[in-house]
Amino acid sequence: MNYLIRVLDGSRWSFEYQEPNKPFKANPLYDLRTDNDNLSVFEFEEEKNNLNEIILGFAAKRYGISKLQYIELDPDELIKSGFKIISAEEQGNTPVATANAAHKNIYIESAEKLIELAKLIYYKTENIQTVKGKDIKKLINESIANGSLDRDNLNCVLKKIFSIT
Amino acid sequence: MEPVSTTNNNRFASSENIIESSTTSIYVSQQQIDPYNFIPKPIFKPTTNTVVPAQLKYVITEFKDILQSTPVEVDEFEEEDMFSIRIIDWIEKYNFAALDTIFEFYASGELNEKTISHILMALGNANNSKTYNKRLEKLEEFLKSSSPKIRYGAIIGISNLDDPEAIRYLSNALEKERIPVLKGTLKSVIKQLKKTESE
Repeated sequence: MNYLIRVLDGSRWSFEYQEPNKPFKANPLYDLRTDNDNLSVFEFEEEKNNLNEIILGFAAKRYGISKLQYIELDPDELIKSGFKIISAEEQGNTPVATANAAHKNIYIESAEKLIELAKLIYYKTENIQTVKGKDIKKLINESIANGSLDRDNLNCVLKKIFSIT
Repeated sequence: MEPVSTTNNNRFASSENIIESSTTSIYVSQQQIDPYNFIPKPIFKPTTNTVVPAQLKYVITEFKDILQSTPVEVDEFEEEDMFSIRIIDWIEKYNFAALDTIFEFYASGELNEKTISHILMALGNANNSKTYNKRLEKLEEFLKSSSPKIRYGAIIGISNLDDPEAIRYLSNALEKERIPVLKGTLKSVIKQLKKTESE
């Protein structure tokens, strides 16, 4: 089954229990920043088994090594809830080409729609996945070693961490 | 017991090692100075005025500098990492004195939820066998915090320690947890620790 991956910072979603009909907290919306009314996601395709590439893509564009958390969204469920999933005009901007090819957008037509998505995601965070920092570091190291990650595409902070001159 | 003097060659026995009170100078036994912990142990603690051993002032000063110059309020991963790196270095340098400082600051209300949460995450990454048990003990204690954000920090801190001993505490926390992201993170970390246990 294919699903859409969005990286979140679990800390922002850690607040007192959200009752369904109560106003939603503003802080988590930082994790759902849109660009041109589009929310960027990456499609995991079961047949391609590209999860590691997607995680690598996210990890390799950050300015440090720390845990990474993400949720998996069912595209069918999103469509039933009135969201549109569209092919991204631009490829993703991670240092991993195969991850970039998996880039998609969820069209967010209004702030109210964004809050609706945030509420949906809030309950889905019960299935949040966590990749710890040491595993991220290992993934990047292995990818540099096997050539699947071009070290020249890393930012200066990661180059320093991985002793790349 | 010897009076401390500035002519003494012991690097801990300088005039700075004298713990002063308003009424008297206190002599510090050289036998009670633990070079590993860096903090001279007083043999007499006055009940009046604030007593702060000179070396402890450095621990606190460095901690305050980290808090002031590496803001945790900025919600960017890079800031989080820089803060964690500095906290870890500081803990590894000052061991138990650093841990005591953190928890005293927290108890006195000087650390907000977000800051203590980030510190708890960093506790799991410190590479310091001396303080390992205390760090694990504190992380397990903070799993029961009334603050969701602090509980989150404790869960991630335990994830970073990667010690299967913590599975039962996480499982207990999961039974009581109501907030979705904390339940999810607990499940994720329990799975991670079970994998570590089997390897």
